[in-house]
Amino acid sequence: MAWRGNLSKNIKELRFLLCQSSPASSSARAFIEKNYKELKTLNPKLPILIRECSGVEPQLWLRYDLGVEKGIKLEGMTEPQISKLLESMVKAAAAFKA
Amino acid sequence: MAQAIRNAKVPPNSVNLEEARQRVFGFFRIACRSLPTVMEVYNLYDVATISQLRSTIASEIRRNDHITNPKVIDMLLFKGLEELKNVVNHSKQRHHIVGQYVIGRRGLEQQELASKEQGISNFLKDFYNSNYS
Amino acid sequence: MGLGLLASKAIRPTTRLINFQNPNNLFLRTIVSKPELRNPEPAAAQPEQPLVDLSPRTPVGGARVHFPNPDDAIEVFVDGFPVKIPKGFSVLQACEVAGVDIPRFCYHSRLSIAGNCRMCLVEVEKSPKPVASCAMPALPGMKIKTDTPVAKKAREGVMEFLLMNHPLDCPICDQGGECDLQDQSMAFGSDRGRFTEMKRSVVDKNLGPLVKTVMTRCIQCTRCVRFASEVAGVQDLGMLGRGSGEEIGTYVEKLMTSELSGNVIDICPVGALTSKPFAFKARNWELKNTETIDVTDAVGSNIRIDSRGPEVMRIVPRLNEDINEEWISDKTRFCYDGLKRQRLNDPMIRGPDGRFKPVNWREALSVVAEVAHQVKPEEIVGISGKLSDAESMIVLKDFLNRLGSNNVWGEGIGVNTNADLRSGYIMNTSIAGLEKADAFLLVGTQPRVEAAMVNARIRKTVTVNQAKVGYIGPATDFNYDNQHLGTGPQTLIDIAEGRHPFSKIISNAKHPVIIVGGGIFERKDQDAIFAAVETIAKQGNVVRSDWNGLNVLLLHAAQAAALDLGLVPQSENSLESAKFVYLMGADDTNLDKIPKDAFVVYQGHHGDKSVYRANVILPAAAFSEKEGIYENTEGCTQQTWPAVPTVGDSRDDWKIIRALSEVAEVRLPYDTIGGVRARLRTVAPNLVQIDEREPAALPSSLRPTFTQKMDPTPFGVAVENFYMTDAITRASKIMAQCSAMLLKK
Repeated sequence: MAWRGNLSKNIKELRFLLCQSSPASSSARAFIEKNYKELKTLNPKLPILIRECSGVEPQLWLRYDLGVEKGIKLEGMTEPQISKLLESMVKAAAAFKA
Repeated sequence: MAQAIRNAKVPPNSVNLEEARQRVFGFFRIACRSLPTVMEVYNLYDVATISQLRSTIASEIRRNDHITNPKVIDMLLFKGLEELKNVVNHSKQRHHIVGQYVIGRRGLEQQELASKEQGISNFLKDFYNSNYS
Repeated sequence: MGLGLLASKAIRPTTRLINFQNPNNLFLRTIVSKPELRNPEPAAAQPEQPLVDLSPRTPVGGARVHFPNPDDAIEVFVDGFPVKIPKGFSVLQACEVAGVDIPRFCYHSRLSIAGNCRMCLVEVEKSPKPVASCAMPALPGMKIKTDTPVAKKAREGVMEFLLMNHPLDCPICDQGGECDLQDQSMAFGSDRGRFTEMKRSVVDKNLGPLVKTVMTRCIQCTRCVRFASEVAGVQDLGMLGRGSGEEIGTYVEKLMTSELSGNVIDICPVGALTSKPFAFKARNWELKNTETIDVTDAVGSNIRIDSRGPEVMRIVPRLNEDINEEWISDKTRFCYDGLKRQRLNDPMIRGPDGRFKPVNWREALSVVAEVAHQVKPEEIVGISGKLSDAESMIVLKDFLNRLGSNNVWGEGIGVNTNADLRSGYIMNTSIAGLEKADAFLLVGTQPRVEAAMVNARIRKTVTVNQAKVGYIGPATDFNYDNQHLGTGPQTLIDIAEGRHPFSKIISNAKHPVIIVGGGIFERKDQDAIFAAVETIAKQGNVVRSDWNGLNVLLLHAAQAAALDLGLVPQSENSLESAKFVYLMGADDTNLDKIPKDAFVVYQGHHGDKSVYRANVILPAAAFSEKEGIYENTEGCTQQTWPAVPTVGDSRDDWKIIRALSEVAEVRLPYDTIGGVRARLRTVAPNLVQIDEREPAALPSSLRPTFTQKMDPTPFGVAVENFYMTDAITRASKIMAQCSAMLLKK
């Protein structure tokens, strides 16, 4: 999972918006509970903000350089799908930079 | 001449557009005849010429040339005559005349065009104007 | 006499001759009769049962009735209307549930019962004399009558007695227009008095620069005495003497130094205790009320700003059961005169001679934009201040991000702060939830000066639940019993490892609460301290599914929102190597760290400390002049409303940055405050749910543990002078007087 360590190279900030209790966000919640510790340990300087609010759809926002942001809806995705999505975004960002 | 202006009144009862039009021309004639008095009173010899002021008055009248309701034209004439009386009777001051008639509308537009380059958004225009747009 | 004589005059035959002939006729009185008198029915008509309106009634003031055991409800009859009330209610409370407001002076719902004013007397069936409804418990089946002649006569009598010794001060009394005595005497008193003797007068007491006392007006209701001893926790006031010689005072010449002393002004029903700064300034009917939020501390107390024209005249609390009940601290109440001094009202640029020159907005923004483009993106730094609202903070972050800089942070947030999980920096047990606790561990926080309303809540819990309080930090005084466990992180480690006796108290408690102070964010070893606190939490079962007792007490109004938006410093020395520094209201940063050749822009409303280092000044609006979202320390989002117009040429904070972004050619995509809030929703959606508190579900134990050395320096004091903490309070004359006279030396 080498891509996990490369997160902070191109991404400046990672944001997870999810609901505390709704079923739509349960996969997002599970993803965070399992992977947050690892992601943070590998990227201690990267802010990975997790913001819960009732009634909000699960979303993932990535902030790149110069204030460019990309937001992806995580509704209906399972946990491995979210992981794959994050990986693809990281690789895309690296490719763009290069 | 000033006496004639003071006595002039616009009766508010034009029957049709043609009569209103005649009244407008009469008003324009009265205004142009009073221009030398105005120049004398406010000392505008260095600032403007009579023909400049005449064309300003004409453009102000032309600004309303799209109106067809005789009653509205009567009302505008009334206001115009009131303004003329104020000017002739020295109720205004020089800076009013210079700002309103010598520089006039064209001058304001030019100022706006020059300074702000017109490339700014409405938000910025309102921001420069005041906090409560 | 009435109209009978007039009616009879109308009935008489009207000819002038009669008067002429016999002048004595004038005094003849014709007999007037009425239909009821003509009917020859037996005079003993039954007093009919007055028709009782049985439609459902709402309780007084829209209150909600809480039934702790629903099977224990009692039914009583108030004026014939049956109501269901919980078991321990008094007669007055039962009448309130039934929608009948009984007049009272000494009774207050948040204080203990005194029963000495006797204004609440009502008639109860089968009782020989009227009962004091505030003190009498309601028994099942009681029939309470509040509008009978007995009750009315009692009220008139009490009113007459109260007004006997009350001075005729209404024209010069500040309470006129909002005086309980005035209102109740109009509603319930008789129309004339019978007192012709000399009234007594009492000498005035000096209670400090905040509370003006005219003790002659006092009606000895003892509300202030009970408030001071129960809610504020200071035993300053008491009743001296007996009978008509009773006086409320401090006996020794003592000032009221408590931080809640201003609330006695609201509590006193007459004009005996009034606000000294507000004395003789305005009458309450000429003031416009605006309901907003206070920003002098992180509690976010609900206040009402009373303003007259462009000036804030006074600040008064609003009811909010969850946050501040009905009280506000002195700092909140009296900081308003700082809003009138030292205000920035024109954009200014520092000329080459070092002096400021006022310019217009066009020039100021173009200068700032020019310099911003000349520096490298890594050298741009932005710091948002203590009083900034969420909209301006997100706009600042967006703007600086678009210029390529990542160094934006909020004042008071240190380098290693982890703002990822919300439960790591808000008060997870809400302020209202603190009332359930039975053990407190305060780590490096002095709630009395940092958040006075939270302290009042802790005191309430300690008194009611007999909660145990352990405190780690420098010696301070508390107004409740506590154990001073230690001064530094070593004590924390002891408790975490179970060696300290207090750890047993935490494990035995059903609802333990740990409160970590916001000053921890400034320390380098904050991760280690939080790790130690997490260990204590795990051992004591502080964080469970139904109870989260791990709290952080933040220090400023903007801190919670700043952490929510992710305004955390990314690197250690960004400030020391900066060439362009944007200070948005940041007055408490260490200005020495900024290099001498850096270009500093200060955007704020007061000329406080940072203005002296700035190169360009952009005047902004204070909290009473703008519509802004603030989040308090428990995570409840609230909104301020503008009460007065902005001063001079100042603009709203977010508008300045949006205009600056346009001039600097990195135009931000929103134009209105709705657009800014839509952007807020994509960053921290809880900031858009106004008046809602979003609990943080994911526990902060998810944080990875970094092995960091714990710094053994003892915890410091975050707030040294309670009365002077931010730009507004430092500019206020009243606060200066308070800090000179009322601080304990």
